[in-house]
Formats: sequence, structure tokens, C-alpha cells
Amino acid sequence: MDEFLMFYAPFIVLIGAIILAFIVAPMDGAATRPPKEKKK
Amino acid sequence: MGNEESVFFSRVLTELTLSFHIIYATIGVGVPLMIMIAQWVGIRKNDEHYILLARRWARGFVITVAVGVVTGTAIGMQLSLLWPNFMELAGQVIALPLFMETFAFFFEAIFLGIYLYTWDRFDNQKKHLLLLVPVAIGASFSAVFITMVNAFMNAPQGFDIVDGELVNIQPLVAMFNPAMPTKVAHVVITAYMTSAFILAAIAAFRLLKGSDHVYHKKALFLTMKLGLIFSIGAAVIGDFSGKYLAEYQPEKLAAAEWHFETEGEAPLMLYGVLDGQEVKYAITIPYALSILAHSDPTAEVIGLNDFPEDEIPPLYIHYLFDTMVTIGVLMIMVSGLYWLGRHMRWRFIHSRWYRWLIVAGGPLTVIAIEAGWWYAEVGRQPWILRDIMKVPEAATTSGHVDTMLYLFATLYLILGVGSVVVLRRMFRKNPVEREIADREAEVREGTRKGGDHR
Repeated sequence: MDEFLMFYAPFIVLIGAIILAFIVAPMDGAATRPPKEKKK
Repeated sequence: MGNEESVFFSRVLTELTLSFHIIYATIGVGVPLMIMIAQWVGIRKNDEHYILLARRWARGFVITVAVGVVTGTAIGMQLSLLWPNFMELAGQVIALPLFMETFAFFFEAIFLGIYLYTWDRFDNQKKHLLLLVPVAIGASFSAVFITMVNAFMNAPQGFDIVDGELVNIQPLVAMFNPAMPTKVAHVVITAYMTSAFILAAIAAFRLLKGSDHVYHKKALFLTMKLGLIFSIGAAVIGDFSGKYLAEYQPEKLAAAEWHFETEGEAPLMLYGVLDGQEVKYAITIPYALSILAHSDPTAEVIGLNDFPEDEIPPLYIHYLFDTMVTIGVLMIMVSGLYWLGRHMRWRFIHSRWYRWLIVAGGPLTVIAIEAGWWYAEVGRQPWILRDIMKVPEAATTSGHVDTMLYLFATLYLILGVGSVVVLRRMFRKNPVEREIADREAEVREGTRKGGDHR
């Protein structure tokens, strides 16, 4: 198990993070959404 | 100057050069991917703000590349001049990735030039984006190849020494050493993470300074999202690095954790003060060191008392390790809360104090990178090539290293101040609001000019 975590998993995580970044990046609906109004 | 002095000055000069270079190298590796993602989002959503983000980031990136080239060349030169005995051995075994790093840089530089000078020259923006792919690949692979050399210093293999002679040299075996996967992946992903948080800090700073333009909001949301993904990835790969260290460099892990006795159910020590072999005032997380080292809360972790005293790294690396981990965790929390807060429409993420926290995240991640590199390098001491060559054996005996130190320190001061001044002037003289207005006017008039908008 540790063998896999030391030698293969680092590259899987790195490549996975890059792919995830491209998938998530265009989802920007929340970027310009205004915050909730203050309760009076 | 005696040999001890030349070793001392060689160490100081190398530390200074690497500490300065790593800032520009990290930005140089990470920013191309950020530019690529921004341009890709811009094309996909047909959103000029993201395209402009890519344009402006690319302009700033060129300045950091220019400084990175100078400091990178200085490192190459200093390796040979300050550590000749190391290079005599390493040059025969691990020269391949050193050369490949240069080719990766050429690959990046050639396409970066074409990319920069072909804005607006393609009807199809996707074709222009394709030019950025080799830039991002070249930048990342520069880091991959040079980190392979560093990994080799930690876990040398691919050669034998028989009667003082190097035999059975296998460059590929040397490149693909056990330290390589965790080190390479951690260096690359933290470069992406740091670049994302530096760009986020710039966007947050503009919002704090009164610009309420949607461009900055989009920039901040995008970079915080990317920072979150890459910082979580960095933490996961950091955990894998713990397993590598426990197996191949246990003294480095034990020194970082002030772990003296070999025992199971080992706790993780955060912060604290060392009194002899007693750790005081530390935050103790039970079983965490055993889990970090072997994914098992009861696993035995080798302690420092099992090693000869003269082969134990300086124990102050504990604070370097803690600094790196603390900032990493802090940035996961800051970016995670920001992302969640945006979706939940929480008010506090728009507050001044939270934006200042994001601004602080830029320099903090650079400090984390510095702490991480210092931990990696000091943690290998006293070896330059683990178990084969100690640092003093590798150093030059030249009597003029102190003069070189002063000259290079002056050079880095000029480069550091110069690059900040140029970047500030470049963006102050051409604020984003004006550039957006200019581009909108151009689009309206249908008179887009080619190639002169950089």
C-alpha cells in the first residue's frame, strides 16, 4: 500500500487536480452573486 | 580564507540564491497554467474578462521569467563553482535531467514568445490557446527535471563506487529514484497553489482599494477555487511525502517531529520548545505521526536516538516544517470558506478583514515555499548526497567565495527591487478599467488591431 502511495499516487493526485481545475474553473455563477441582505 | 570559511560562504551563497530563485521559479511554473485556465474559461464562456485576465497575467509573467532566467543561470554556475566535487560525481550520473531542464525551458521560451506576439492574430482564439500548451508543459517539466536532480541528492542510486571510481552508471535509474515521485509532485502542485494565491491576493487588493469591477470579482473567485484545489492536493501529496521519509529518510522525519525514541503510536508535535530531549508547550496530536509515516496509528516510527549524532539534521527544521504545514492548512481554510461563502452568499467573505486575509495569503504561501525548501535542504544535512558525500567534502576551497556572496546579494537586491518596480509601473499605468473600456470601444468600432495590445 505504502509503495503505491509513494510512487504512483503523487502523480495521480497531481494530474487529477489539474483536470479538476479545468472542470471547476468555468463554474463561476457564484462569482458575481451579491451577499445576503442584512436581517433588519 | 580557510576551508571552513569557504564551506560556510558557499552554503550561505547557495541558500541565498536558491531562496531568491525559488520565488520566481514557483511563479514561473504555476502562472502559465493559471493563464491557460483563464483563457480557456474566457473562450468557453465567451467572456472578455477572462481573456483579459490571461493577457494581463501573461504580461506580468514575462517579467518574472526574465528574473528567473538570471537566477537560474546563477544556480547552474554556482553548482559547478561552489560544489565542484559534488558536480564531478553528479555530473556523470544525473546530468541528463539537468540538460532536459534546459530543453524544457527552451520549449517554454520559444512558444511563450510566439504566444505573446500573436494575440489578436487568430480568428479562432482556440488556436492561440494551443500555443500556451507547450508553455505550460515546458514550465512544469522544468520543475520536474530539476526536482529529479534534487530527489537524487536525497536518494542517490543508479551507480556504484568501486575503488573510488564510478561504475555501472544508469542515468534513468538515477532519475527515477524513490524520492522523485513525492518530491516532483509536491513541488509542481505547490507552485500552482502559490501562483493561484498570489493572483488571488492581487485581485483582493484591487477590491480593497475601491475597484468594484466584476473583473476583479471573477479573478478572485477563479484563483481562490484553483488555490483550494491545489492546496488540498498539496496536503495529500505532503502526506505521501511523510511515508517516503519514514521509509527512506527516517532521520529527516524524526528531526522535523522531534521524535527521539523509536516507538509505536507516535504522536505528532506541533510547535513547542525543545529542552534537551524533552518537548515542552507543544500541541500533541496522538497517533498522527504513526499515521503520517505508515498509515497505521500503531506503527513504529524510528527515532533520532537510533542515528549517529553527527548524521542528525539540525533540529530547528521542526519550525520550518510547522511553518509550511500551518500556512498550507490556513490557506485551505481561507480558500475553502471563501468558496463556500460565495455559494452560501455569506457576508463576511466580502468584509475588509477577510479580503486582507486573502491578500496576506500571497506572501504567506511564498513563505511556506521558502520554509518547505529550507526544510528539504537542511533536513538532508550533513549530506549533500545522502550517505555518500557530506557537504564540506563537496565544497570549493577557493578563497574568494565571500566576495561572490556580496556581489550576488547586490545582484539579487537589484533584480528583486527592479522586478517589483517594473511590475507596479506596468499595471498602474494601464489599469484594468481603462483596458476594458478600450477593448469594448475597439469591439464596438470593429477596428481590432493585431498584435500591439501587450
